[in-house]
Amino acid sequence: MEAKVIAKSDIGAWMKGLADKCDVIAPVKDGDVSAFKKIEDFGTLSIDLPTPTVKGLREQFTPETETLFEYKLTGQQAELTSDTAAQKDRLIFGVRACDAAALKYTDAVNANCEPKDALYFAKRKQTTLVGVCCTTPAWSCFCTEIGDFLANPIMMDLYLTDIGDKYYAEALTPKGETLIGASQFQAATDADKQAAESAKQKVIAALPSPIDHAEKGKDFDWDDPMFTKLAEKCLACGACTFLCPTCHCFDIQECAQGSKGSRYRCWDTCQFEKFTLMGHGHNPRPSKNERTRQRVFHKFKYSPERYGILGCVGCGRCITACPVNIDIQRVVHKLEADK
Amino acid sequence: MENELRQKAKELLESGQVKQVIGYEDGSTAFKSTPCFASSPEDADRLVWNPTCVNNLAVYLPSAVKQGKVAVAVKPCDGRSVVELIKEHQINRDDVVTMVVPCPGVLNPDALADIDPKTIKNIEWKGDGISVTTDSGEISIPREKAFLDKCLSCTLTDPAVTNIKLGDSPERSPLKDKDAAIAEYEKMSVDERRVFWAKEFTKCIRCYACRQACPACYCKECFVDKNGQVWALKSTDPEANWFFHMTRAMHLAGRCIGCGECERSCPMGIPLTLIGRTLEKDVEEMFGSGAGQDPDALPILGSFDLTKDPDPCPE
Amino acid sequence: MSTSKSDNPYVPELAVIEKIITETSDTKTFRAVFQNEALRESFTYEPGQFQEVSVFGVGEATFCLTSTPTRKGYIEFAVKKVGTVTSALQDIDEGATVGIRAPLGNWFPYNDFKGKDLLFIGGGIGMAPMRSLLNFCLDNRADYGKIDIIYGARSSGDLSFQYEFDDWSKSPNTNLYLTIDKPEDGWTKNVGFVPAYLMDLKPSPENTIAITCGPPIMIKFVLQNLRELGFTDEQIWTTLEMKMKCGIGKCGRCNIGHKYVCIDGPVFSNAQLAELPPEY
Ligand code: SF4
Ligand code: SF4
Ligand code: SF4
Ligand code: SF4
Ligand code: FES
Repeated sequence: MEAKVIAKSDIGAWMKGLADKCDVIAPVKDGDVSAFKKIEDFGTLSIDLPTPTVKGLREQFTPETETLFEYKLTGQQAELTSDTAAQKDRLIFGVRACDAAALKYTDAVNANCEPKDALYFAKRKQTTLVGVCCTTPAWSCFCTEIGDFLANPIMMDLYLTDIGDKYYAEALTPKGETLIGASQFQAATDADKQAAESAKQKVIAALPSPIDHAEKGKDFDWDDPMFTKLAEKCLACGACTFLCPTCHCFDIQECAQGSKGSRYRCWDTCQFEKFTLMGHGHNPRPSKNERTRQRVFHKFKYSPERYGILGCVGCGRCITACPVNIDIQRVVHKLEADK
Repeated sequence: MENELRQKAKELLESGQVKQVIGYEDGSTAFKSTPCFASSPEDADRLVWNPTCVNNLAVYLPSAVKQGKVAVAVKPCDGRSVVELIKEHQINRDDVVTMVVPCPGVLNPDALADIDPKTIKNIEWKGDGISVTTDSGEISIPREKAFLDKCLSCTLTDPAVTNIKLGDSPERSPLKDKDAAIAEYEKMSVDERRVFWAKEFTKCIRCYACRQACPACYCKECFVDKNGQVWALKSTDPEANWFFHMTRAMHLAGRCIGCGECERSCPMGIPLTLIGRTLEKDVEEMFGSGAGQDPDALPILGSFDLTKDPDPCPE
Repeated sequence: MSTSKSDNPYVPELAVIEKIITETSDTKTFRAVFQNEALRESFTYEPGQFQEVSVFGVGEATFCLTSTPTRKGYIEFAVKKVGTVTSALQDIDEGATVGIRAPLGNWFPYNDFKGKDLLFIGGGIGMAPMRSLLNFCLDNRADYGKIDIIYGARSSGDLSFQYEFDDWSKSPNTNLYLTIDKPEDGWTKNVGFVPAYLMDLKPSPENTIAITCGPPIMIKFVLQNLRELGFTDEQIWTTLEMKMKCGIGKCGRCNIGHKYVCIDGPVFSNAQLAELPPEY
């Protein structure tokens, strides 16, 4: 597909132009943390690109808390309403290659058996994604071990690579082609193309080499003694899984207010004891041993078995977030060595 | 010091005095250590003590003592958690051996902001700050930048439950007033505070890392997890988040020892220690004593003294 | 694009509780009829499938469909009081409105069972999911060989579906074997645990499918005994219970290895279970 360039100084104007048609969302600093936020003021554009956002794109498609429907009770009767108000189209700018790749996985999950998750796919359909190639990966990044999407991005419409005072912009979908039709984009020269290529190669060279984790995951040892070790220190919090761009587990809860209320879903995780606890007290994953195994096995063994792709994109978020330094990259390497 | 720690740990394990020693070992990168559960003398060789040893290991005690007597490496601040756990009958004094490590202060991750993390090889105490060894040489970071805020105002001595004292406590003159952070906060009006927290709490994703990392949050079932009688919504709506944090805060009044593990663990950067410190100050002012000092004292909110307690319930 | 009620998979259909049958001291069977008349006609399901039932203001819980699709116009589910929603259900009256998301999950491969003898082994509330298949087979009696039903409970008062015992035992070539844990005045049937009774009855594995459901401890010994009797893993079928929320493979909590009980189950043969990690 086509590629063009856009001057960094033109990004603000370009986005402002887009904002007439859709919400423009980009990473901005919110105190200490970088988060995707709707951009309102394009004059003082303060997009925070160097640091990856604390959360990936999960909340954009499955918000932390999402109302499923509302109900009203009158005596023995019930009346249900689910919000059908159309959402505005939106463009998310500054998406990491790993976070976009994670959508391949969450798409598969949300299409896991009929009915598909209409709430998720409605938001997917309405979203245009503009990615940026990372120039300064975090210490915990290992995406190149998982796939080659940093060089060959997937699941996004346009991919920008920093080449000095401008971005090399590759359209990956028809939506992306339309985007680079905007007046701020100029034709790319061969030099631009080469600059982008070498910028990508420079980052990739600093990152780990590919490993066929899906293949190796087949032989993971169910009884690997490492899980007892991890369970000892794991705090059973949700930091790793709530920040993970592929984690998708949720709970369904009721918010009752007298004769009316709502049913909502909210993020949940296999790391919480109650996740699998049944009403009569039986729990198939009764201790942290089983629960730490579930996270790693789900991502590196079950997911390839079920969906044909890994449930990890190597974004490193769980690694930086874990308060006790449980490092999934190390854990997986060890499991692969132990088998 | 590290050797002394290992040596003591070995002795305790070899002699069978304890079942395990909880300390720190090297983490997956040079600027992080990770909790270590040593159950054999060989394991004890992995123990480390350096500025990256930030975790408050007391969080592990209530479950660890179920397998037998435990020795635990504690900084003076963490030692106060052990006091609280004993005071609140979560562990028996006899089931725990505290190994108090001499602590000049522990690493503030912001101190490394200007260093490429991948080049960091080692971090150790040097002078009154730290020294960071990198691929391109050694970098000294002064105390005021190197350590966590709590360390800069720390005046703590050996905790009331010290069993083994390792090394000599370093000379420590606080660089900051303990209440500096809350002094700013207290300048805000009640309404401004409301706005402040409303904004902070919208960030909360309810991962409960704060609660799980907190040595005082040991309830078998947290009020927010009850699903029979629903006390609190699991939703991240602003009111629900507010309710969770304020209720947790009230449950910690007079019990929070200010280790800062909640804030350190929070992936969303919510300044949770501000809540704890504000409460701690109120408790100190109202009841004259704080958390983590005397293992034989009665918990402040678990006792009532008609003659001393201020503001008894109105008739 | 908007999300309408029909494509939002989490919005239940409304149904009225038409009849409530008290089975035991802690178990009731509910008969529900969809409010939407067209749906009432068109709704169908397979024996072994389950549903999510909503009590508005309380929440949603998972129950197997205990009625058979051969008897149209209504669905039934049996509820034992264990948690919040199940307790709330115990308190509702006939005429109440509930929400239903159904049918969910897989079902017993009853076509593969055709021409074979069937052996049902149930304990307590475990009879509920099997009742659907049992009545389905009895309604298609000619398709199956001999049907033996071994059903046990703690006491005679803990046996559910007693009002159907006559129909079951009077059906041609069908035997109902009842057992209770301890002797009781007036009890003329067997006394003893289900697995032991199974060994007394010694059913032949020849051209037979065994279907079992009940408390985990009963299942464990029933499986041992079935193997001893010569049943292979392919001949033994069960339906699993697991904590569920979405029921459609999205919320992530009901996995056993890479399988989800809500969509790949709840019905599994022992041979299928043997392929999965022991985490259920
Ligand atoms: S498992 Fe960790 S590294 Fe992998 S995608 Fe999730 S958060 Fe990122
Ligand atoms: S790792 Fe756990 S929380 Fe994440 S998707 Fe898998 S089961 Fe769900
Ligand atoms: S973030 Fe770390 S401590 Fe928390 S559940 Fe994950 S692995 Fe355990
Ligand atoms: S650690 Fe932070 S984000 Fe997680 S529950 Fe606590 S305050 Fe909320
Ligand atoms: S119940 Fe949600 S995945 Fe099975």
